[in-house]
Amino acid sequence: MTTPNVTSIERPDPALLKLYILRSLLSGPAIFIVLPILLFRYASLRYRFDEDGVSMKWGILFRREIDLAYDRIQDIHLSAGFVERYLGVASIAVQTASGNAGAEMTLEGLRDADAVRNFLYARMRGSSAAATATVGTATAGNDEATQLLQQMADDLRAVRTALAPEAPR
Amino acid sequence: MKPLHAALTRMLRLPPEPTAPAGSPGSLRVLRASDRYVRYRQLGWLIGHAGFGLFVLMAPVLALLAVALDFSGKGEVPGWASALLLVLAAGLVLGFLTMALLSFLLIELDRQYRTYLLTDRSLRVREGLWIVREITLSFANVQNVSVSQGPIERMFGISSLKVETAGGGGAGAQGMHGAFSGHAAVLRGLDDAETLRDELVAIVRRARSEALAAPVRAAEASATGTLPLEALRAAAAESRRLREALEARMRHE
Repeated sequence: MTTPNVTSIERPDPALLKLYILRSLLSGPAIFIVLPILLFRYASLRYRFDEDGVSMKWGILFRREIDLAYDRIQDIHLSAGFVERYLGVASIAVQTASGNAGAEMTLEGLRDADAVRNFLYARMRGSSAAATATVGTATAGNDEATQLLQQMADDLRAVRTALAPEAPR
Repeated sequence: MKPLHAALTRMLRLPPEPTAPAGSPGSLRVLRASDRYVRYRQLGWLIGHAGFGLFVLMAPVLALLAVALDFSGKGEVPGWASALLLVLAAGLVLGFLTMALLSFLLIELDRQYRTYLLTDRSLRVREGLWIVREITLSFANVQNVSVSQGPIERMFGISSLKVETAGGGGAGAQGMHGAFSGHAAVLRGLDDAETLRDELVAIVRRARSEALAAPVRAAEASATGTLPLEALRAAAAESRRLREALEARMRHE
């Protein structure tokens, strides 16, 4: 279900640059403001998928960084606009249970968005498949730990009584 | 209709069916909007375009009338101006008719590509033609399932089902992402939303008690799972040896 290469995604697809240029062309006279902003954003955009969460950061003058733990993710929205589909990329917006309706994080310019979505979904809150798998093995270790501690307690008590037989038990 | 739809599908680069969300094998159900949803949307289209069309067509018709009847009575409207007016009016009317036809065709296409996938654990709603959106949520996170029906929807016998997860954000914030903001997925144009609601409520109840306990259990388990068992074994062996050594010495004395 999860593809291993999702964790190696660090940069958006180069198609995102084309998308940004198109978007700034559509903004009309505001292009002089929009284009540099989007170019800076594209140049500085970095993704990181690690053990516990996903983070993205961008910005050269004003830096932003968003970190999100997988187990706080609640809904995953995948969207691909008309132009995005021609460029072969899609965006994933990730929602947590926060107060605002907008997405906490929007990962733009993903080439294999389906794989990223499956990757996030398998780790998100309420997705029980991954969680229940670890329970079995972990309780096995728990049993052994209890047994060892019990044995240590028995031994230490024996040592104590041997050293001071008259002390209260 | 059919070849037009095929051409539009190619032009819009509509992706095929969405992939199934996570869930037990065999539990996948594919739901679609009702046929009556198409007729409901077509009625909306008719009302919208009748009003807007009247408004759009009024201006060029009045302008043409003014030129043709030469209201000023002095015949001073030059020929090129009335020709330009004619071209503009024709362009406006043609543009309006093309857009109207296109949006009419897209209603049927919208229904074809509107897909609701549900498994025993997850829900995936896909909708949209210009922007294709897919929302995926886990039933374990669902807070509220509600059915809504407007008066015209009641006439057609269809209703919408709204599946909400935790989190705020009022209606005001919904503009940008349409049905997909505000922590909710909306299944529009359902034939029998009530039955589906009851089914979903049952699934949600089961999923919540199962899945939300799981992360807690996993957290507890992984806390013990990461116990330094190696060190514990060494300490236990050491305490055993200490006891034996002491007992041996006691016997000696």
